[in-house]
Amino acid sequence: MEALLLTIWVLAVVLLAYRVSRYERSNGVDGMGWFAYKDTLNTRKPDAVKGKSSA
Amino acid sequence: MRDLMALFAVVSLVAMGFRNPFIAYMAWTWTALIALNTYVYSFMTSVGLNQIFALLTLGLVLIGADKLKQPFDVNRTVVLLLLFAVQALASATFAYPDMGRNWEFATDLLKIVTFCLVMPMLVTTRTRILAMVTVMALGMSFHGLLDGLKLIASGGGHLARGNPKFGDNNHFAVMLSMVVPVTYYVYQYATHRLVRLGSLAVSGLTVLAVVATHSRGGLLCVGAMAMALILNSRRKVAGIVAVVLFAVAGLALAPDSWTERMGTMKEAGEDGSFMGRVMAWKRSSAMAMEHPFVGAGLGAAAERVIYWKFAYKDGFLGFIKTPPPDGIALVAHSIYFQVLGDMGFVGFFIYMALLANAFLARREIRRLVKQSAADLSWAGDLADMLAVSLLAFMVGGALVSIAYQEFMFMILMLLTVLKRQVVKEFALLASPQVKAAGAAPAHAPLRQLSSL
Repeated sequence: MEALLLTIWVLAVVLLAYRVSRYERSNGVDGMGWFAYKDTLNTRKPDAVKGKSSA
Repeated sequence: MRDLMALFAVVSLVAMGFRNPFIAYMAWTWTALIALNTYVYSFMTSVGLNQIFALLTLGLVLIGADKLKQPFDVNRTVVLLLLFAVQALASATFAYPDMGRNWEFATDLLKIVTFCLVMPMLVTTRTRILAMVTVMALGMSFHGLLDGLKLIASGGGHLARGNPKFGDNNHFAVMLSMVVPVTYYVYQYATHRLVRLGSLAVSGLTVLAVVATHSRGGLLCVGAMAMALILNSRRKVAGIVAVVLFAVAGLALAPDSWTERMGTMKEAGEDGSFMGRVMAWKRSSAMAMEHPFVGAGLGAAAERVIYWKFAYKDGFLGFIKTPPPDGIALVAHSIYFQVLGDMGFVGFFIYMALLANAFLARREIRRLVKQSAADLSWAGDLADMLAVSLLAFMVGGALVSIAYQEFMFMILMLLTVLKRQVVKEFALLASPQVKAAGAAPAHAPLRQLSSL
């Protein structure tokens, strides 16, 4: 169980790094995917486009 | 298998880090918090993961490899951090002779200050600030996740002893409490449903992990944190209901031994453990009284020779009666007295100024968010959550010696970086071009200007 969770956590960090890298190389065209954040609690998805949030 | 996975992570992050120094910095943060070496068994145990990413980041920053890097900016936090570093060096230099860990503590502190000084140069956009929040959550919450699950699996019998990196169960409890506001922020603002639910689950499990430490300081920490979260919440009644429900569930899971131990808080004056803390505070205050400018040296409270030198001195706490010294507890038992004893009154005031400065930064962010035409609530709420995390540190830290923990310094610096981002977005909104474009609170154009 511990090994499985550790695997998930490690993969999450690698994926986050990949997303940040891709986001910055594309000047924000490629979104942050799973690691995107909203601007405000009042709107569910500020950037509306699926998977293309500005993070 | 775990070692291979850790190796895969390191190789991937190093490869990405070479192309983007901010990735190396994120990995530096993550390895500092997750203490990966303590979760592997084979060839990766002795690899200095943190050092690898620290050296990679510093090297890339020095050669100017980051296209979004900002020049070194001297602000209030940077000045206070530099003063604190100079004071630490002075204390280490003028420490009592033969203090085994004096220079070790000083070196660690200088590494932490270096980490903080690099942050404003690399964490330069909203995306990067939020990536830092995610990576901090992913680093610290892993410990809470494991111990929270173990507590449930054992039906309340699990005792979380802490990670060697963070010290004993009391230290661990405070560190865990500090990450809950961060994971809660991820729950509030992440857009992906799985990430939101995962963060909420991790927040709850981390609180359970604090229960599993059997730490009374940890309980105080969680209580202070819950109150601060409710006060900051827009839906206070729902917040109170959620906290009460969670407390009931936590109490149902906690074993009798936990309830008995928490009950001893009512008799602090007669409790040997608590009086031992007061004795430690007396020793540290005596050290500061004798060496007001530089203290007794870093880690002084843990030295047996220093212990007996100050064992019968009351410092400025002579009005509290304590039993005779027993020579057992070689710790300062409080972040405040730890810094006081180690670095004297000068170090103590710089340290307090650093903490106060963070709350001031939070207030400034809140004021700007309120004045802004656009909705910058992501920043306002993040500032609140980071301040709650610091509050947990200050409450829990009153009873344990974790003054130099890097997670606290990371939060201090992140607040400063966040303030700079808010000022930047605020200035952009006020600029004539944005006003001419009809400055509605639409974020897309603003984001293009300010994020990248």
